[in-house]
Amino acid sequence: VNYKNKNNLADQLLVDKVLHGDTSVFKAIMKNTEGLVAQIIFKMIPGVEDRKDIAQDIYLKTFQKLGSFKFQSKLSTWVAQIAYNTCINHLEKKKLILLNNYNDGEEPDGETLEKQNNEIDPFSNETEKFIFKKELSEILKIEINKLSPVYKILITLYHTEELNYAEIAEITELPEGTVKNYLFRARKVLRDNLLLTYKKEAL
Amino acid sequence: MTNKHLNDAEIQQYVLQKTNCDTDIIEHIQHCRNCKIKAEQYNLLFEGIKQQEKPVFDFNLADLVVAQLPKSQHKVSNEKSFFYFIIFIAIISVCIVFYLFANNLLNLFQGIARISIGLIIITGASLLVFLCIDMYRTYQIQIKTLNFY
Repeated sequence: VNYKNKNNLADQLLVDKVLHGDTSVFKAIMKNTEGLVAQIIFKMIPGVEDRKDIAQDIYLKTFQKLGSFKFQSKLSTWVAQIAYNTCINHLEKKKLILLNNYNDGEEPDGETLEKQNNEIDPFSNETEKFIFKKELSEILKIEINKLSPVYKILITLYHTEELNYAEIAEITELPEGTVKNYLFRARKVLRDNLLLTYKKEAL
Repeated sequence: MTNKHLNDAEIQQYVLQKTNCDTDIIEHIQHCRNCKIKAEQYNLLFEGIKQQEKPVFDFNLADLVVAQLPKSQHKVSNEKSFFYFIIFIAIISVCIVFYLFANNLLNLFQGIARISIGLIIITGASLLVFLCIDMYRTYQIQIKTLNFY
């Protein structure tokens, strides 16, 4: 991604100042990227006490490697890449599962689909829709947390942080096609699990 | 319009990129209750994800990190100066050797057959390439061990 615009100039200015010894400017870089880094850490690191150390580690690495940043991407994307790699390394060290093999199952035929939708249609009337929307946030939070770290972070980067496929591919160092495929599967698993939970709660 | 129910990939595409969607898909969803419900479920799911609360650190990360940074960083410029210094020394050394021993070096190669010179150059170049590759691999392994990035 050849990234050239005024944000890039702002990034360049900040990086130059830090490289010329003004470490206080590093705070501005942190402020600009902290939200994205927090998303990555919170979604990928289950241990609350580990998050503080990892967050510091990420920014210390960013500072040490700042001289090698080539402005080929946004600074935030580059910092997010460091954050993602640090989290992956941490999970690998702890031997935690990065990616579950979710069984997508076969696509249901027309009759099964109709039956499923009749059984679990949270939109049959406006009141139900309103209640479902209110409950959705809590159920969704739980269901997202049940996903594997890689799926969780892909869903968050695409839907919450509104990054495009190319940026996500750059952060995760996965091919764009793999990102699209994992995202599709993660959304499907989430939808299926949500409907299952809703069905259980409705009973 | 397609009469077959849409699969999840098509429905996700419809919800996320309606403008780039195939007209067959759009028409099918408009006429099929099941696929419409499924699309609405996905729509609600995406809205729900978007509205999820953004996490925030319960400590001042910037202060913690800045406190650990060195006061000034001249590391990069020092590294660059050192690199240019090495290049300068290397060029000067080669020039001195050629200045002092140019005749001797020429005589050295005049006494050897061309094929031998070729062999020496090829062997030397191969060894250089091999050593460079080996050095690069060792460097990568060391960086990975350091878990630097």
